Amino acid sequence: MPDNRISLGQGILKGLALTIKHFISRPIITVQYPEERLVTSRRIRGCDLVWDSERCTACCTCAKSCPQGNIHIETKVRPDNTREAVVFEIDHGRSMFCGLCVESCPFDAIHMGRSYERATYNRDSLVIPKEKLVAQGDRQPSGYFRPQFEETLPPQSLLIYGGKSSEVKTPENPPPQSPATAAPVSEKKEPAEREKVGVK
Amino acid sequence: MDWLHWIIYVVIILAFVLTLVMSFILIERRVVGRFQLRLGPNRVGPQGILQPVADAVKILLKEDIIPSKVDRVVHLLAPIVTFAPAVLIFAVIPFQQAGNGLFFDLKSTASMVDLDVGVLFIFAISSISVVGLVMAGWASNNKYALLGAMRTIAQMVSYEIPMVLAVLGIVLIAGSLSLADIVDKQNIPFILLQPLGFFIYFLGATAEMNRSPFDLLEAESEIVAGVNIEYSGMKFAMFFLGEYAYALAVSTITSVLFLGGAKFPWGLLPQSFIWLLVKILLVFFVILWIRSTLPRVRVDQLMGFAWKFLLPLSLINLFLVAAEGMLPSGFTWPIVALNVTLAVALVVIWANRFYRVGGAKVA
Repeated sequence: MPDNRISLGQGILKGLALTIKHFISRPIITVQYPEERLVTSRRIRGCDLVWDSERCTACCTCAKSCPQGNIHIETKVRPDNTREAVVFEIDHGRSMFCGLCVESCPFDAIHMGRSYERATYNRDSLVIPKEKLVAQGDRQPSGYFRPQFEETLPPQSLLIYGGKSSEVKTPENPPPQSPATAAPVSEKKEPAEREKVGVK
Repeated sequence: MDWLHWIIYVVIILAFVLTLVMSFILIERRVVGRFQLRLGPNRVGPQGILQPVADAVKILLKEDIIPSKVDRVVHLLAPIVTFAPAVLIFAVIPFQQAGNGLFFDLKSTASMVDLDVGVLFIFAISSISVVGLVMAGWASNNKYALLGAMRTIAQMVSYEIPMVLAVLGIVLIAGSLSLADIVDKQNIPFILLQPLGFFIYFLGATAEMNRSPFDLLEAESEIVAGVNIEYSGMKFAMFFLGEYAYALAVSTITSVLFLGGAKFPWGLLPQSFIWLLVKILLVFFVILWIRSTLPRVRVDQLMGFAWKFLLPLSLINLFLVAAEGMLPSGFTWPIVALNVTLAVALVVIWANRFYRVGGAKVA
């Protein structure tokens, strides 16, 4: 195949120039994880479930919808004929975080969390009782199936949308305010939201 | 006090090689990481400087697996045979010339032994490491190891020829095979007098030490890991160290032969081993730069490049040096200009008219 173009080695030189340019002037794009971390997706199904004791009516729909039976609830009837969850435990060690409990809750009382660090030294500590299930510290509800929270959360920082420096959330920054308490849900909105996903 | 000289230099060389090999491993990982917009290892110690120590401790504690059907003796000897020549090379390297220095003056050249045939010694010793790799490939009783070893023989034997021919140009200019003499003669670095020779030597040496883009020895995508596939623990570490020791040796030889060794260019500052160290790191950086730029070549491209590109060019280079040697002295700068022009012209003409990568045809 006769190819009469004269090559001066431009290809290799161009490549070498590009790599040295990267070496000298491009900023590092990797995230130095424990020190810096990116803001997760607003709809993240993180490694925990956040329970809202105020809204929960102890109807046990979440426990029934759990494919693995991880949610353990014991209830008692209050004098005013409402129910109260005496025991509300979720075994996070067995959870596959499918989110079915969150989707099935008729009163928006259980949410997926935003945290993704749940390493522990033993399995027992993954069974979380109801005192620790509520939103506190880094257990904050995510916008998964909860559009009312999603609006309040900071947008996700993605490396592909440019530099990380401005968008990186450092541990010094205050955690996002707890939407569970900040944004009460209007009762009218709920049935419509549930219908959107559909029972089919 | 001859034995004292030997002992001192054995200690110096071992310390030099081991420290620099350890730091080369870290430097390579950090620099290549930077090229790829990463940071590289930065957790163990400040700026990750203890990472090689952590790696060494890890690899020393690892189990040494010997597969049941290997040739045990050869399997054991192969890493040693690969590693030892790389250290032996430093026996003739002049770390600093005799005479006044930046920090201290020396009565004689600071090398373990100033052989009259230093260049010959280097090339004789460095080809031994091929034997080690072949032993590893054969003894491992593994098809990938054997394939890697076969590639290595072909590659190393082929690239030795243009490399040695390119260095012959240096020997002709300096009029000596002794490395100390060669450094002495470099009032201007030989890279300027011998740009084509440097080009050929550097590419040949890159292929000799199985560096990217000529790292077919351990092309992961083709032959898994090549010769060291059946090795683990300390034996694997010997191969790994041998690879870096050889990279160090090549950087050092390049610095000594082409960049003026311990001398500062044009003698602006007194000579010192510091300059040698700086040059070694500079050459190693260029090797890493090439590694992070170019993809791996194919086997046929590799062989064609050695035999159809580097070998003819090195022969032409040798003729040119011999012809220039007949000129009366005093034409240094015109010869530099001429040689740089000729080097560029020859590479471009040869690459375009007589050789096509992968074309397998000399038109």
